[in-house]
Amino acid sequence: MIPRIRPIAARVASHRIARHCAGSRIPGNRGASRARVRELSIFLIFPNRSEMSQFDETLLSAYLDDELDPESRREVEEAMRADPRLSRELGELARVRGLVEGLRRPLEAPDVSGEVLARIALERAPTRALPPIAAASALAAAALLVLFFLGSRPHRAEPPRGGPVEVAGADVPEQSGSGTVAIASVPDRDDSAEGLAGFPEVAEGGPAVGDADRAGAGDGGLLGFVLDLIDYPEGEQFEIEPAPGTSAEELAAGLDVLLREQIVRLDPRYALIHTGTSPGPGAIAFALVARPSERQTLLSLIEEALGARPRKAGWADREEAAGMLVAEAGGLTLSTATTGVPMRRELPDRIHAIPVFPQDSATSPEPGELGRPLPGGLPPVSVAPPAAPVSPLPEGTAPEPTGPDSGAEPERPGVILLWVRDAAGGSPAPGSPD
Amino acid sequence: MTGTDDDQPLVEAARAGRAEAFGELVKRHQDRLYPTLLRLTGSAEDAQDLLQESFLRAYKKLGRFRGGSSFYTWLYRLAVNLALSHRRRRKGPVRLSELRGEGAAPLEPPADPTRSDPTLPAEQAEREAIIQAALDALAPDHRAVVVLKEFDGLRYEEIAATLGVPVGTVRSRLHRARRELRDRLSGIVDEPAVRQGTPDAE
Repeated sequence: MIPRIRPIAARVASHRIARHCAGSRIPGNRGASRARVRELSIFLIFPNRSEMSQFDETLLSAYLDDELDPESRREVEEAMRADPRLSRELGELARVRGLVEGLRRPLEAPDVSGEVLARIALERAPTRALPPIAAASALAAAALLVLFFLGSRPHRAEPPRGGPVEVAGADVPEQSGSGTVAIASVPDRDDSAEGLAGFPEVAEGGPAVGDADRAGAGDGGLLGFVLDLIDYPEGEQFEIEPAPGTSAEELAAGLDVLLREQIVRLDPRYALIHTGTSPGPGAIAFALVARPSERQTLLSLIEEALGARPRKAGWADREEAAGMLVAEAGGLTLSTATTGVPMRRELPDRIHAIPVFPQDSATSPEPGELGRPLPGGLPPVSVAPPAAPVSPLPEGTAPEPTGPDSGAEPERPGVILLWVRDAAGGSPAPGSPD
Repeated sequence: MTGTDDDQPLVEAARAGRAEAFGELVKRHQDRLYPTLLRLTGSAEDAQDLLQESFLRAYKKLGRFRGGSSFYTWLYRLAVNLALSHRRRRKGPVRLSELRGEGAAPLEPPADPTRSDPTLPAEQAEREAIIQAALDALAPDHRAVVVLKEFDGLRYEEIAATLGVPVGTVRSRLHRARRELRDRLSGIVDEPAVRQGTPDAE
């Protein structure tokens, strides 16, 4: 039975509320005061909440919208007869609905069909393979920058890991190492099943970028994948512009080395995204899966290592980042720091199962073990058990990360995208440092 | 929410690689989709960008469209979720309504006068601007149910299917959103219905 408000109790309550609010009313904040008064009314009239009606007030909106079955409608009507407050609330909700409906009017839409078809055409345009000479030039620049950054980087207690890395095959086990340099460019997707052979330009003395994926003719999937990276919950965009005297190519190559050699090394969470097959607008981006608690450390390390070389570094706009990708969709290339698997095939697993990083051994840590800290100072984070098989993303949505219910609020990993652009908005074309 | 029955031939043609067929689908549905995106984002520029992005993603995912619903319904769900994702991730000052546990505060009219229809009398335009600002201040999930219900006229089950949440969640979000709007618009809600100039549904 819903208790009725006794007139005396109501008057007393009003008096007490008025006294309470007299000293705290905020001019112009009538809504907040009103909400506060309503809350206080409930408390003062029903100091023991068990006296309150158990009526589910969300039924009022459903009643208003004619979304209730007959039994529920009767329940609402009985409750309103017993409690005039509910009737008043229904009236207020109806007026709110009327106010919002009053905004409804035809809106003229822009015609975007031309832009959509142009973007589709861009994505279907054939891409140019990275010329071996250009790749060699990039390699040379990267090697120089390795020395540059290794010479200028802060000393870290953990020594660089050694050992060779094989990159030519698709099933190379992950091993630590920095003795072999390989920049892998993958041919168009039709050839990519076994397609690394013959492409890697191998040199010595630098880091390794292993497998790569490339947007080929008729392949919109890679662009979609990278756009999904941008859209992934908890993601961040960070933009870096080179200072005068430093080219974007140098900055990007240095950042690549820094990330792979000092910060993440062969961490499978890392990927390099190239956009732009020709001089002009475009960008180079670095994708890294990280938990929120890791991000500040990561960015601090980058800022520390890059010193004065960036002219500007700051948060980037998501739409602008997406626009840069789309503008150069035909030249999109995605490379991962690890060998064997392109990031796009594994990303959901990596995001969901962070941080199971088989960096030093073939065995994954047992569930519950602490993950090893990322080289370069990123703190260890707790290990999730291997993720359940990942289902495709629902249409138009990003997935909610799933994982073990540890009881504590889990940190949701996201994707950090570091964009390197020159001040004019252009970017280096991959493999064309000249 | 229904789609156009004769979309299927165009869908098939687009799947077969005829981009112009997809262009026809864009022309056919952009006028219906844009108002929803505009109301979800509160920005004409964002809505236009999202309109393009929605069609582009639909094109890329066309192979996954099985025809269990109409093409427009499928596109609409994709676009609404894209807009929601965009709005959740929008940079900029955090609105009071997005801070959990904060009380609702009445809003001033938005600074951008272009949001109001210039052909309306000044008082009505100001009133609509205040109502629009109250809508803008809703948390994205709450705003979505209001837009889908009040502007697009969806039933609870359709909203639930679009957003991928249970019907009960739709009901509670809509109720909380309306209560928040009531608190923010208390000055208008308390006016006599005659002055409001809108039909009272009571």
